[in-house]
Amino acid sequence: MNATLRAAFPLNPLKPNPASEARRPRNAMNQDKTNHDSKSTRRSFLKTSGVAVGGATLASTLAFPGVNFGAPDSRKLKIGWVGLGGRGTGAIDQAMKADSNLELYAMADVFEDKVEAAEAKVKTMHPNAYNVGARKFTGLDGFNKVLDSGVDVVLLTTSPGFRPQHIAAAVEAGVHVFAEKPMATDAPGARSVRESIKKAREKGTALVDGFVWRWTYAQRDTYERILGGEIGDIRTIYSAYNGNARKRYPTWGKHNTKTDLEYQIRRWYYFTWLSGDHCVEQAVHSIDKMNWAMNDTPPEYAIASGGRQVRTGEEFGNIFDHFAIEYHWANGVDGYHYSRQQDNTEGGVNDRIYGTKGVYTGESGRKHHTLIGDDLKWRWKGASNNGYQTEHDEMYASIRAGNPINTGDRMINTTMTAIMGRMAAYTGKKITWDMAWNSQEKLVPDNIKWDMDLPVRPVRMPGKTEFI
Amino acid sequence: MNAESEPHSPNRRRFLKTSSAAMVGGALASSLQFPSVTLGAPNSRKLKVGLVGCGGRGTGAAAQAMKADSNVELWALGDAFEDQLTKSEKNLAKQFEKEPDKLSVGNRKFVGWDAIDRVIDAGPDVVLIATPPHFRPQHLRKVVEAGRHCFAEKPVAVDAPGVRSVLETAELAKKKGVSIVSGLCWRYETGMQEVMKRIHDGAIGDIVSLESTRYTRGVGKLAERQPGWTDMVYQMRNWYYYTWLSGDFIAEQFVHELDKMAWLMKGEYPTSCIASGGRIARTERKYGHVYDHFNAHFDYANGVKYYASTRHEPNTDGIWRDHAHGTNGWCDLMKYTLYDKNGKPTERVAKKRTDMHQLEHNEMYASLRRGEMINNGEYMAKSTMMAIMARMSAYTGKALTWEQAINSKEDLSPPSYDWDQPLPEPPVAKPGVTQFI
Repeated sequence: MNATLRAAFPLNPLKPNPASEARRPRNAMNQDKTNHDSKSTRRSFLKTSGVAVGGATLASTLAFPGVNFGAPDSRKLKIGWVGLGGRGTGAIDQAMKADSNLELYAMADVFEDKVEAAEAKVKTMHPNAYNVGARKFTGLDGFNKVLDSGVDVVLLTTSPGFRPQHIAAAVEAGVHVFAEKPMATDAPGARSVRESIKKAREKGTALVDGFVWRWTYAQRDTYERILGGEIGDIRTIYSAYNGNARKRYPTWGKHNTKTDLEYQIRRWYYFTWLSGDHCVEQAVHSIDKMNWAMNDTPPEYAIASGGRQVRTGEEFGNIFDHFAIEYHWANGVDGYHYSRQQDNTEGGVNDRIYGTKGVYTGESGRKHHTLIGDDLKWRWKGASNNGYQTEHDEMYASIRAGNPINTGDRMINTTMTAIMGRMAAYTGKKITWDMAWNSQEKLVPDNIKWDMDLPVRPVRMPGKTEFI
Repeated sequence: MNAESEPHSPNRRRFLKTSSAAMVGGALASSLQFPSVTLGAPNSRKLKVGLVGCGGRGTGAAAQAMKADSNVELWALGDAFEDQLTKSEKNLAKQFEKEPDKLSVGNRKFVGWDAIDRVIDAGPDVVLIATPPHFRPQHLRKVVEAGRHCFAEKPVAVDAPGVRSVLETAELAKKKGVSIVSGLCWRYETGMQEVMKRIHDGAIGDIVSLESTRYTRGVGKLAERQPGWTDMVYQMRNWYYYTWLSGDFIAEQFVHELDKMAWLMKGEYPTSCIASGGRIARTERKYGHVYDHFNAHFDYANGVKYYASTRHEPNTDGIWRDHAHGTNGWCDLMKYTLYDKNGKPTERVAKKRTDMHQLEHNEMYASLRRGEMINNGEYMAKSTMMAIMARMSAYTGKALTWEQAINSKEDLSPPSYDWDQPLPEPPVAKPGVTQFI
């Protein structure tokens, strides 16, 4: 974060300043979650938070779930929203359902039509929580204006290329952040996010991710068992994220966009600098589960192939339509991740983890999880939840409790794991974790302007595309 | 035939000898054009070898055949192109400078589409077929029908009709008492044989999952189109890059890895496959229409999964590994190393790779001398099918069952073998668009 931005976004006076404010007392159950990032407490955190959203238990046994119960911080929270697309609309709805004392206070999108559409939707969904007034911003600096308007929390749901600078500005402003996945599309962006994570931790502000499976009970229960050793030591991890190529942005093309930048942002998914490519933007969910199984130890290196076989038209920018990434962990574990987005092809999103004592098989979307081994035959059965809702429930509960969640480390590790796989596929080179983190390739241009010259980079070709 | 039901009986060796002798002496002697090589004492008779397909691999196979037995001679050569044949002959002449009696080709050099027929007619005992894989099913059938022993390079077909033909020919070879030795050379590699023995004896427990990755930079050779070359000449000269000729590289090269796993699985083949692939680096027209990367996931009836990836992309990083995970440990096949359940290495079965291209010929001639017919027909056909199944799945984007794949009606043969026939460049397959036939 540079000095200019720091000056532009002083700590929001409405926000509790954790640096100066004494931590609120917590009950016994909360005591052990002072450091979410410590491995030893992660498990108990998951347990605790799982219980927290359970409903009845929450009110009677925990002190923190203040929102609806008046203590300890019952004040109305002002929500800012940046990036008013479909996922963002879902996120704002979930936020409003997560806490009874929120209002949508400011919003921004680069396009005016998106702002109008979002306003109409939120007014329909949550008429009493809409308090945006004139704080509707458009343009490339809309996010600054949202942060300036005095919000407590910001939802960052733009295309991922912008995420690092938005996270940096929001953390600098001392605002709690919900950031959709992925966190970046290139290494410079990821390095910026890594700094922001540290700052958020120092400031005690929330930094919560949208890796939805981490917030899903079925998954938590299952991965807790895997990490607890029920299938023994992990040998191999496999995940597939094979699907069709959803037709995005049917109405937007060269004919109705004025500049290179507008064209690319209107069709953002198809440009690597904006989306990170589909292995970073979509299949990253599966890559996240692989890292989860490895207790969030990132892989040592990736080697990958991939290509663009069907979605080849100019309107599909420069992303690939299939990847096969092999990850290798320092302890000898191999991971195989396959993804594709091609119409009229065989789909399937599933995970397998092979351990020395058994095998995990899962299909997250169907809440199907089994552990099978010599003396093991387990299938997940339990109260299911909507992870998209829970991520917000737990975020606001933690803010109310004065102990905001920061899931930054795992979310940036997973983002970088996906980027490392993409780099390996694009270049045909074996890419190590250190190489990936130190990559100097900056995909997101500086000083973005509507009328800037922004030619589309050619589709990458392994063996010719250099690793930078 | 009681002896057959007791394959490990001490009399087996004698049985085989006797039965071959009996066959040759009885029914077969009258119907075959050549007397079996298996009679009499070892090395008693000079064996004549014919080579069809005089490229690099074929020339190598001929040299290995000459070295495999002290009493063999190269008897006839055949190729579609004269320059290929001449080059091969010169190369062999140089290699066997000091043993000129090994080369007795004389004027038995045949060029053209019918080279196979003319080589067979020249009367060799053994025919080596190393033409582009498209020709393997028909060539193999001709060799076996003529009662000649055959060494068949891999893969043995490029489409399912070809595989079905090879399976029939393999049966015919058993009836005729002739050998079919496959160029799936790992089966003859000493270290890998030891590894497989350990695994089959239960060293890593029951198999749970398998993995192969073979990433290379490709095979490189390209022939630029010359004035006067017809479509057929051009495609034949660049056979590697045409699926109808090579089967695509997943069949042409990666079949080795698939076959290793078929071996490991004791001849069990997957029940289904889902694959992806494409062409991202070798996109120029000169590379025909084959893919440059494949990624396949095979399912077996007993729940075993096999993850297999391969690529041929210039200037990319390589990797070549085969892993097998079992309930009691795992094995790094290419390092000949077994690991226990805790990931600790327990045994390094072999230190270095043996010369498997030589060993397969040594075995072949030794067995011929003993009167034991080798028949690698079934696994070479089915492992080829495994590659074709993955290719078809990648090309179409469809999940395919083994039954669907092996019953595929897609015949990649050209309308006729005519040098002047127009042969348009085939399109590059597009998953979701290209149909499974």
